[in-house]
Amino acid sequence: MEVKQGYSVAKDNAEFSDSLSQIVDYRGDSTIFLEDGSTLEGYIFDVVNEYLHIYPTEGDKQEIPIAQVTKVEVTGKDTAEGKSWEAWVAKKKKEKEQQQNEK
Amino acid sequence: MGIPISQMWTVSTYVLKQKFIKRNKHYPLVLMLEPLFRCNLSCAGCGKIQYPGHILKRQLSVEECVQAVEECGAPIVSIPGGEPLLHPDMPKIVEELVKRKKYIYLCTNAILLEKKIEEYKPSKYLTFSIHMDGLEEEHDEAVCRDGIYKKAIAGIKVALDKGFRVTTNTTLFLGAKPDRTRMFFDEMSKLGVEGMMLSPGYSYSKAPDQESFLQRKETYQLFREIFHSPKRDWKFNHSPLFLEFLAGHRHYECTPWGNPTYNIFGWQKPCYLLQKGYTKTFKELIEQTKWDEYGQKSNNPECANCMVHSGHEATTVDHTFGTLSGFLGTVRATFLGPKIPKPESQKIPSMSGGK
Repeated sequence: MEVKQGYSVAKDNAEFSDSLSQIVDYRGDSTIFLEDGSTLEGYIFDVVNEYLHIYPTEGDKQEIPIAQVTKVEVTGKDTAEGKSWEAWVAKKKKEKEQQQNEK
Repeated sequence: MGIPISQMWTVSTYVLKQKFIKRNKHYPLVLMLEPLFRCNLSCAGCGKIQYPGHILKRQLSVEECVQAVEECGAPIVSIPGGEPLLHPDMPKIVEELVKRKKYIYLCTNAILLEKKIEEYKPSKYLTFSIHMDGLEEEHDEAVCRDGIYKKAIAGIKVALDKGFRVTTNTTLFLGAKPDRTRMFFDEMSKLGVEGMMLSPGYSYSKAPDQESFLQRKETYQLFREIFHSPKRDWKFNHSPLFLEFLAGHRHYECTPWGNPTYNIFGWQKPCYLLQKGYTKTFKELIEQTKWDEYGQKSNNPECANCMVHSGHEATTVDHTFGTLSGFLGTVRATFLGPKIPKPESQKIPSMSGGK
């Protein structure tokens, strides 16, 4: 599975637990769908003892029982995408090569 | 060495107490206190700033910072970020920690240092640790913005003029040029900084073991070339044993509990670089983290190439004050200089630790 913006996983999916671990590593927001029909959007930063730990887009951090979750969807942009050191080095190398070609 | 005697005394008595009186194996040496993640730079590869906007707007309060410091008990507090000078209450946080006699390393890119320096009072407990990744070309490239090297130099000069302790903090990636790094040391020494801190950049790839081994070997090579024939006026804010470790004269295992990290998410497991969950208390961090799953000896691929100071300097300090060989090695390296294998040496240190 590739966790990226638009990815969603329902609790009855066999990969739900693994997906949550990957969503925790994702550097963007997700939306939690709850049994009562409500949703909560924010940054999920940990999964501990059957609870999702989330910083909602507004307000203090919360712990949501996984038992109450029906689905989690990755809704925010990946803030780390394309920002690796390797990507930067490759970009600078390309720029230098272009400058040399122009000379 | 570029570390004042009063600080060395504080650290040595603390370590001796932890080791021989409290018999505490997992004791913290430096608290990495991250009060915020937002920054006025956007350096490529910096995992600390890659968060959604609402996370970057959050910060620890003065009370939360003080509570973390007291809970942890480490004698040294490093305040990285993000950019700590962006925190509106940073002067108050520093004041509270100075009151508690903590040695503070305020890690800054120095962009705001000239503007904000009047908000701070010089103290033996406060050091501005300026992020400098090399000479102008290398530094501006590393921080992805032109002109930052000059700003940082101006900040260093102002801080020194006003009587503050100032060190530099440099990350070197494979591909760094040893001769340029040596010139950088000369420049910083001319400015009169108290000491320079160095660390190889953290690299983690899911490469097979052989490739990992080569990367570690390349790190040794880089530091052998940098440190060979060191100049007398170069002062490093490190244990000399750590320099010997970087150059592959000796091996140390990681002691991730030595530099615990606290931020808006809680106490970060297991170290400053890896994020394997959080605990609410420092006690939980120490008791619940499976420490044997980390470090080179664990064969965890995420740790295979890691030689960063936040994981290994505490090991060298523990070796210095916990063993006679470590103590004598430190005394010898302090007065005669660290043992650095020659650049052409093929030496690979024994992985049994300490030697």
